[in-house]
Amino acid sequence: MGRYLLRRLIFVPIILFILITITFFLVRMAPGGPFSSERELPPGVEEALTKKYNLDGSLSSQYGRYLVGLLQGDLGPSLKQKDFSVNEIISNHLPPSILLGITALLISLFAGVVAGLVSASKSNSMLDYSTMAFAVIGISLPVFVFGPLLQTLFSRVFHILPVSGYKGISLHLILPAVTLGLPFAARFARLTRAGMLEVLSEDFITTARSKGLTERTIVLRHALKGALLPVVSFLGPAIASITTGSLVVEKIFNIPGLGREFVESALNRDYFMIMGTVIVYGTLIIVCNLAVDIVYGFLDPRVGNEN
Amino acid sequence: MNNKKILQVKNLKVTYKSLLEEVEAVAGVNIDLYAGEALAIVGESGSGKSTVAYALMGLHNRKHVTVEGEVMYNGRNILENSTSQWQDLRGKEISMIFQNPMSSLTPYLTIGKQVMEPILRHTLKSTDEARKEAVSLLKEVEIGDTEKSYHSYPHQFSGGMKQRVMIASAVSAEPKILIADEPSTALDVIIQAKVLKLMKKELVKRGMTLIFITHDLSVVAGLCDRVVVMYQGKIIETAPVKKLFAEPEHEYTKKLLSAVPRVDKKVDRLMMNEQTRSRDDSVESIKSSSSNETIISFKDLHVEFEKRNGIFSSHKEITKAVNGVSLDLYKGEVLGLVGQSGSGKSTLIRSIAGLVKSKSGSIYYDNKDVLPANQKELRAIRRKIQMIFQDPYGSLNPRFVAGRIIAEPLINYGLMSGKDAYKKVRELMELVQLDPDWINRYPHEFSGGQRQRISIARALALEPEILLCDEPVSALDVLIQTDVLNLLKEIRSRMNLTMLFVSHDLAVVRYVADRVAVMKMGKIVELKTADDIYAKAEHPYTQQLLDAIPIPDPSVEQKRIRC
Amino acid sequence: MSDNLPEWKAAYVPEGEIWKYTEQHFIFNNGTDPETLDPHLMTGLPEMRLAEALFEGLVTYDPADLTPRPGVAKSWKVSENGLVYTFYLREDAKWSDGKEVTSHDFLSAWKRGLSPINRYINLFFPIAGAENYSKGKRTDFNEVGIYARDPHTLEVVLHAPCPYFLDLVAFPTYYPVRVDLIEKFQEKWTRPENIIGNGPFVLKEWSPREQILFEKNPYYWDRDFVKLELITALPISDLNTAYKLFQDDKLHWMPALPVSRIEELKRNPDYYVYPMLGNYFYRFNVTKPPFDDSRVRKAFCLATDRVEICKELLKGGEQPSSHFCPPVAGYKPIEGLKHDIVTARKLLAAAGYGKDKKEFPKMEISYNTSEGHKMIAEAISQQWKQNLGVDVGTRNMEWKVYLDNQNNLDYAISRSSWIGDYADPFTFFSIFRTDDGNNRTGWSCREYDELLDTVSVTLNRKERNNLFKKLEHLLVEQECPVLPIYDYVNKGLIKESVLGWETNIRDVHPLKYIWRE
Repeated sequence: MGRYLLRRLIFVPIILFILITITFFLVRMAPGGPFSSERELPPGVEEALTKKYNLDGSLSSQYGRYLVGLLQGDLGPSLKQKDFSVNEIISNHLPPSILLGITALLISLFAGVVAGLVSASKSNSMLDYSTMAFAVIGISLPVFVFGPLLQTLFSRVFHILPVSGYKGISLHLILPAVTLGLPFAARFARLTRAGMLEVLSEDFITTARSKGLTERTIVLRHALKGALLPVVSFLGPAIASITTGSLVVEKIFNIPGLGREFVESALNRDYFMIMGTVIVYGTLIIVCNLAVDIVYGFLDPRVGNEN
Repeated sequence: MNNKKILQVKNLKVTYKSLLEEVEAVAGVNIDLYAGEALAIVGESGSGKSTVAYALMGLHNRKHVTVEGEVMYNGRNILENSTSQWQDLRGKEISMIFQNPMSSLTPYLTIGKQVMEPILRHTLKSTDEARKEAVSLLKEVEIGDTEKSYHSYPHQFSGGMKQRVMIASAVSAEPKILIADEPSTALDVIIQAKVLKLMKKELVKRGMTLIFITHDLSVVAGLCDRVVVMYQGKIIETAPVKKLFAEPEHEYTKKLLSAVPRVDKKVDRLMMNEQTRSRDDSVESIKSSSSNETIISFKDLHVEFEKRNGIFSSHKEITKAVNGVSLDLYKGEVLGLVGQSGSGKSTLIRSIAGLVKSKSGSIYYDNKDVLPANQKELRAIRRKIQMIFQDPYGSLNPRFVAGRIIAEPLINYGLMSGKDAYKKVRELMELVQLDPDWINRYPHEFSGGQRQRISIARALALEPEILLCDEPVSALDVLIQTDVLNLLKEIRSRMNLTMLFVSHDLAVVRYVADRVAVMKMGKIVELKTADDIYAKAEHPYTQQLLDAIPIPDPSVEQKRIRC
Repeated sequence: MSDNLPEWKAAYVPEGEIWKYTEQHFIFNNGTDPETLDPHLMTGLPEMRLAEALFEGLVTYDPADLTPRPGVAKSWKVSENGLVYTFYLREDAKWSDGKEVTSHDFLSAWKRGLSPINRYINLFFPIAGAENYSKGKRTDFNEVGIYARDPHTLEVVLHAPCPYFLDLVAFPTYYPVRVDLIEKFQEKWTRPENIIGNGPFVLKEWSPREQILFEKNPYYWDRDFVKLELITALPISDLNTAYKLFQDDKLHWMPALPVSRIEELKRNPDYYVYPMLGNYFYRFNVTKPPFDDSRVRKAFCLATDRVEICKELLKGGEQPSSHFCPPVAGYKPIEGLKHDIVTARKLLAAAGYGKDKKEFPKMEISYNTSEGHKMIAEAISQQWKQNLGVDVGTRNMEWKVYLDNQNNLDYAISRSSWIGDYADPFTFFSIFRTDDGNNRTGWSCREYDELLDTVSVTLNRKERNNLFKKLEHLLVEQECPVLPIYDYVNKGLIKESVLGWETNIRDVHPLKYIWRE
């Protein structure tokens, strides 16, 4: 496991380098530039801005300069948020994104797994059907419908939770995290249910029953780990989409997260900001997938133990 | 064995319910189980024998299965048990071992934990005591390095070891009755013998009563006291084991007994019932005609498999699957190739068909080395050498009808099409004793034996010289196995085929083969005529293999296994 | 400064609890985070709203009628010929660090403003020598018509009379900035810990995407007039969320509304709507057929029912318009081309399109992705199909792509809008000068260009307005490179308790004048 991990770690910078290179050139190929606007720039201004932001010279020399800066930890200036550097913007907006993502993930994992287990244990009952119907709704209900619905219900009607804003770990986090987590909770529930039902039909469950074990012991000791494997496999992509896909939730709840920077920088052709967010998210996703593999190996003794 | 009835099954009926139909799997079964005896329930698959066992353990899902009748144990009908009463009974009073050791242990728990589970569940022993007991149980079932094994996971164990763990776990809470559902069917002969021996030892030591469920009468002969024969959900005969083998009463029992290939006797034809006898007359006269003309010759063949630990690892594990085999196959003979799983026998025959790459050595076919052959040459060779695989389902495309499957080689080689192919397919189906009117059925509409006939028909379509059979009957019930073996024998005589027949079952090989090669760890350790190898085995490994094979005759077999 | 904090504020600020307000705490939704707080870099309304709190120019304007009012200059004098402006700075004007604001501060700030990082650099061009200096043709700043006669007297010399020059001086790009700070802190000079302004408020906190806090500037010369103690600007872009906050009294002013709920909002007593100096129109690409023919352009204008767009679709009080420049500074627009299907069909037939004639080419209305633009484009396309029998598709595109296409004349019809920079029609008409960067239609008309030259040297208001009418006639009645659709309105919600908040066509609401009751 240790050597395997080391091998995977060596690849992280290589993958990142490829990611950076592809993004750098792709972004420059997109039509429109960072300074174009509805109003024509006065003559000379575009050249001055180009020079100021180090966007002059050939693309390859810019790429070289960017890499040199990157090696020194300098992600460059933001072309849109002119008073901040990309480093500052990321350090401002990454923590809220991560906090929101983790909270949403924990909520969705807990809710999804519990719902899935309940559903599986009462399979084909009314409870099962209604839970799964709810899960389908959860997957198909768009965030921009669900979020405002929660806001209206919990802030406008019951007055128990704030409408929007970000205050670190606080009540403000609940509604956005639930909104962000709902579709994932639904997927986790379906995966858990399917996984549990599949495991419960395995031969070793019959063996466990023949030992006289109670259903509870069978589910928790013999079935749960196996049932959760598909959930764990989905965790990698789930973390990726939870962290990168928080744009709408951040907007609705006015959370200063990185998800918006990710999308808006691309729309604004904020070249260095795009690179910065891609690097951050790329690293995040690679690391999360690695972590998921480790957890997988931990859950299933058949994986990673061969050597 | 005494006369005390420990368990009484009275008019047991088990019905499987689905939305569309109800199937009565067990239709009124009565069994008296005497304390201390070993009772066998024998029957082909679908006879309801496992369904009875599940009913005794209350393992049927009551939503989909109705269980009626009575099962009297300790003076009460356990079929009326509540869920918690069943849970108290399972493992403590009645315990069970299942057919497939590979899938019957929880992959996520250590061996030790799984063995001690019934102890913790059913006794008042502390975790420490249970752990100690689990370790000593592992020792008892002859698992080496018990401390380490205790912390191992099932995937680190071989099938035989897993089945021994299953035994240890099943007996750990000292149950009165042990139900063993085909416990050795999935295992190699040698392992099977060891496991059965171990089971018998445990039975005697603990004074347990055994219900042994199997389709294999030869195993029963040495192990059990009484036999119950089930057929289509009913008991058709119950008799002490010796009487059953000596004077079977029911026709079906007789058929079963005649179907069992014997390793200790030369039999020309198994299961000579009326129907096959009449067909047989025409081919009886054609004697197997092996010549001295070599058709295939292996010269110092080596096949290696590399297993890398990862894409970028430099460390490779090399398995020498075939390690210097030289062997001649004569025209018209049937050469049996036996050995345990992993001995390299399958690899050897696959190397002829070009399905695996050889490392060194050569294979001559018609005095030509086929290993350097290019794709085109290989294609020509494959036309003459056809193969039949073990899994008759996996090797047939489920989306094609039988006719299409059989005709495929003909179309592939551009030999026939349209009406000619259709006619040829019907001929082939008749040849393998399939109703030609079933030409448009899909594989799943056929039984296992019928599917294997389709494979054979497909292999014969190109009228090959050589037929390579890779465990063609090991997945089949004994009666069907015999049918298929008889068919192969008949076709071989009729078409003057040369056959290389791979099996782990020496009894089967003895029945079909003229010569037998014994393989061990990639090498051929002994090669003799079929009769000689049984009579004058020289290599200790051959001897070991022979000893492990149960003989379907209690008078012989019960002397062999000593406890 | 923080020593002087009233007790309630000291208790409030560390918690960062924006909902807890006192009487003189004003909370408004700015809709987005400012791109910058540097007056020379800013381009948008959200930035300028905040700049007004932090800085003050020589001149400010009346929040109701937008007429110039004294700012840092307590008075000013304009020469007879309209070329020399002399500003007399007040002695008590101070920076928020207590330093005096002098004419030299303006000098150095405007010098910086003339460097080409300033997108509004051309607002300085009425000043003599400014354009040449900014383009590097002249390198000596002394040749630019800006002179500090003494620390409290600033003289500005124009190269030609500019009737709206005082409007320009009130614009953020003319604000004084502390060049010493900018040199010291570079782009970090706008941070709360660094920034020093001369406006009525100082920057207390800037949490990007969360909130911006201002508090009263104790050094501001007119501090006794300023009543607000604390201002919170929120960057909430989800307007439904903002509306919920407004309903909860946690927001006092929202200058943008969720369009989908306009019917409901119109019934709200806090709703306001009034005209704005901006318009929504379509550009025609006159360099390519069929719109190289003014008859076709005219036909399309006549076949468009703007009343239907405004009344049935927008419903927010927008004014259907067939003129390009909204009424401003005494200018009353001409009639323009009204909805007239019969004439439209005749014109199109005259241009050679219709039954038995040329088939009208396939084309599209390009717009940047937005529900509103889509709705209007589809409705207009439908009207044209009905009235002219032509098939015009619609095509949405990403903002930057849309800009690129418009700029490169890679379109047939392109959605557009224009907001006036200052209260004079010139800010509208000047963009269609031949080869102006904002023209973006390919249209060129000598008569129009000459009229523009004339108007820029005409000072008399009445004469000017007559000239503008001629320009308008060329633009929307004769040549029609553009299809006006409607004049923008300002719509929003403001709590009744907010006073000193006035409506005006430029949608500017100096925070200095606002207080809460």
